[in-house]
Amino acid sequence: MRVLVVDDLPSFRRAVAGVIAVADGFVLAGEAVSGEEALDFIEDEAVGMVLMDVNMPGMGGLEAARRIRCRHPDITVVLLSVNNTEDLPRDAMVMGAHYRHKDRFGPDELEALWSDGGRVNS
Amino acid sequence: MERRGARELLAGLRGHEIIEIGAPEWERLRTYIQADLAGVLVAVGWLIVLRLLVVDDAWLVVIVSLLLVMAAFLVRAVQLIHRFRRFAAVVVFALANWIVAVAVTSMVPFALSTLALAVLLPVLVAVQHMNHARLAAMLGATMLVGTALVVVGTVHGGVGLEDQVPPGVTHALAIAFIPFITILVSLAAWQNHGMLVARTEALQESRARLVAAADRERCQIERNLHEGAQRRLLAAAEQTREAWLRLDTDPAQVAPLLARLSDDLQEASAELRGLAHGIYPPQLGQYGLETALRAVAQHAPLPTTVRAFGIGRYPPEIEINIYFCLLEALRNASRHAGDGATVTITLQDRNGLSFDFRDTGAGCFPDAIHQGTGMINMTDRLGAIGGTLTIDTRPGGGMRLHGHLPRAVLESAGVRRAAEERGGAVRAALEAIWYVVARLYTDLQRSTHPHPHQYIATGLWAILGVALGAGTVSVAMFPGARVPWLPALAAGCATVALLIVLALRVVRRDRIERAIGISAGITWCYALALTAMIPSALPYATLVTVSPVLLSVAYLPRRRFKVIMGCTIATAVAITLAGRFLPGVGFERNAPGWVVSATVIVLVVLGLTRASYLAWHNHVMLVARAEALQESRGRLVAAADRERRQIERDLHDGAQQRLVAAAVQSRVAQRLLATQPADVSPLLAQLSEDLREAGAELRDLAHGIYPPQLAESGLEAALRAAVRHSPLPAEIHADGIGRYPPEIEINVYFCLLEALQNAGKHAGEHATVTIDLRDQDGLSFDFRDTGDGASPDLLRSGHGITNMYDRLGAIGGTLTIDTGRGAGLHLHGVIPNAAAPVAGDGKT
Repeated sequence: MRVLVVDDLPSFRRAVAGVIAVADGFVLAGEAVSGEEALDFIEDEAVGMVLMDVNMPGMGGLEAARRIRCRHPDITVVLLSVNNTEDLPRDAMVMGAHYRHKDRFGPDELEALWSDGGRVNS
Repeated sequence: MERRGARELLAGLRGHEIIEIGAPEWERLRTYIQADLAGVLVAVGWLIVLRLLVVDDAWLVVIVSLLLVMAAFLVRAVQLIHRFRRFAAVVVFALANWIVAVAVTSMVPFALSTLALAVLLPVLVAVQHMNHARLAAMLGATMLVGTALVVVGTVHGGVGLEDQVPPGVTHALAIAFIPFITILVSLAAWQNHGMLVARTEALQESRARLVAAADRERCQIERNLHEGAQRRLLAAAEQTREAWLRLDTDPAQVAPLLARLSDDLQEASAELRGLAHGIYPPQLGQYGLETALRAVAQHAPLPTTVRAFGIGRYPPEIEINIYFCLLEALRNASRHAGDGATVTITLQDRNGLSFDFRDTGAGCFPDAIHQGTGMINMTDRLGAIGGTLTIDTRPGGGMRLHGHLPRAVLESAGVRRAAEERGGAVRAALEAIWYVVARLYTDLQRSTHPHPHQYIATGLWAILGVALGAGTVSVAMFPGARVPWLPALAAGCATVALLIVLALRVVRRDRIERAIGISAGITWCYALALTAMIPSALPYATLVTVSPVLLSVAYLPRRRFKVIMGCTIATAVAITLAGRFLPGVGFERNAPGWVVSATVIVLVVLGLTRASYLAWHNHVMLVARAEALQESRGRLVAAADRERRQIERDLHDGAQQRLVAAAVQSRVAQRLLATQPADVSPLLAQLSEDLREAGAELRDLAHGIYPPQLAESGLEAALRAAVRHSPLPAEIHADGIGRYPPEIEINVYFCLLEALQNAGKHAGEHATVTIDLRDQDGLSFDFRDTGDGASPDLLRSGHGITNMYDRLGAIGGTLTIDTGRGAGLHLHGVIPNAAAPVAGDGKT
């Protein structure tokens, strides 16, 4: 599966790229530093999954996720955050997106997302 | 539980203490309304007795019912205070007084002399409760109602009730009520006087407390970072290195090491996040107050409900201060409210932003509130952004906190709300009336910002005018009327005029206190003489009598103010007796009716204008004196909050992200160990390096928050360390410098750091800096650079210098700046020995 990594911080993009490299069946499709850039990327390239930070300058991860789900319902969107999901405002939750904690993210969790078809929500 | 009906009414009448730390204004407002209510009830009792024993007239019943309606209004006003609707309470109080005053005067014109002052009372009470616009509207209304009152009282003959009542009864009523209302007016002036002093002092203390709290916080953050995240990062780097070393020698041990590393990193990240969250919750910046509070409510130890009505986004300084206020309240509640208590937080944006925090816990005695620092912190925080906090609690009755940020504060902070206040047009009209009156009055004084001497002179000129006018009239009338009183009156007037001319000369030259004393004496003698000669001028005389006490509000010390108050009340009694019992010179009998009416109307309106203008002036003084301090306090709090936000961002974008990435990398390493062991070594080397860098970054950050040398070795060592990183060569002379209280050391340190940074930015490349620290009756410093200097105007407009002023001001010090183009910059700061008055209580 081709994965797009979206985060404004290079250190985390590098770490996630490492995870994708070692996890079975995943290929890094590209990296983007903002929601806007991610949307442009998806228009041009085929992507199966988007791993995206919630807090980014510009439109932010939640808005970008909403637009991706709207235009490309077939893409799995995984939102990564250092905060707990329940601390997000209720109306900000995006339908159909998955939420994962950055602290616990790793190859195991990425593969679990795939094997469950992304149905398990944290 | 909500009380209903009669019980609520009784509870409202009895009242329990409402606490507003630093400014117990609600309590005072309620006292006035209750005193007014008592007066009304006494009047009702009197009239009922009159109706039963002496006069059987239906009009008496009408008056009694009117007074009862007024009493109901006043009870309503007290209730409004309990619901924290101060403005509404003042309006209800004023309307009750005004409507009844006009109605009663139209029925029994003799009440005019009592009620002229009653019309003025609400605005005097309102002086400290209203903003400029509202007070102006209220003064406009006072002028209108006062004019209506005197016109109704002199032109309309009444319903003939006075003829049926024995004169003793009306005498007694006047003798009791005129001094009573004079006492209320004097008390209102006394409290305005107290507020003028108390507010400045309270602001100074609150500013010092806020700065001390911010500095303690910095110190705490530095300690937490140093002992927590920083150590964990170094340990993790060490662990990674160990795993890397063992790759070749003992590969079997590497997998468990890596597993532990990833757990440790996850824990460290959570800890750091907790710390950053405590400094500034990220939800607050991203989603606003409501979401941040909901997140807090979810983790609170007590079941907490958050309700929000019409809440939008506000400038960060408002959001963060309200947030921390409520956080503190929640902490207090979970500590003291007891198990089984629940908390409800209501946020509302209506005529300003307000919050209501209620718990169903144990409550406490009001005294306990004054002792704790929690409530004082909250009051300081809210006060710094222009809001107020009111606390309402009783043992067993839970705790209720009400915070309010007026609409005007939101608007000046750039928040726009579409909701229009009701009655805007009426208010604007009343405001316009007041501004016209004020313009006329100031034109008369020939100055818009008159010195108190000017007020006194204006008052004396007015009396001189009346005396000369009366003298001229009596001389002119003498040939026709042949009344022997007239020449005597003319002679009296001439004497008064002469005295005033003499007094005017003294007043212009002498000290303000003596000037006020002289003018007060003349004013009272004039009031007494006028009433003795023309008894129908009594309503004007009552207004004249209170004007010295209103004038004194801003200028006299407490002891002298009490003397003025005492004399005012004595004069009120004297003029009432004179007005009721002396026959006068026969002006009323001899002059045509319309002349008497016109004279009384003109005089009363004149007196009312002067009294209203003095009230307005007191309001302006009250606001102006506090303004500079208020602004300085607001800036300090805003700076501290900006700093918190910056620290949180630095932590979030720096160390925390590195930790998260490291945790993910460690899992990648674990996986690689199983599948491609050859690739693990470079990854671990990189990881170890990353963690070391993150540790160093965190150390620098902590150092910037609070330099550890400052607490350990004092000002000199910390400054020497700071100078090493400075781009300009700097020398420090610090002979005989010891240790000082921490709040002095940190403020002087940051002040000089700011100066050093400024010099680095603006002084030019070749400049050098000298810092001299000395201990002479306290700590003083001189900061000199050999740079380009700057024009004083430019300096004043910059943030850096204002920060320094605020910081030093908060610890009781002063800063002097000496600079010019090309002359370098010289800062001289002094912190006297007795400075930092609240340093002691700030530590609890």
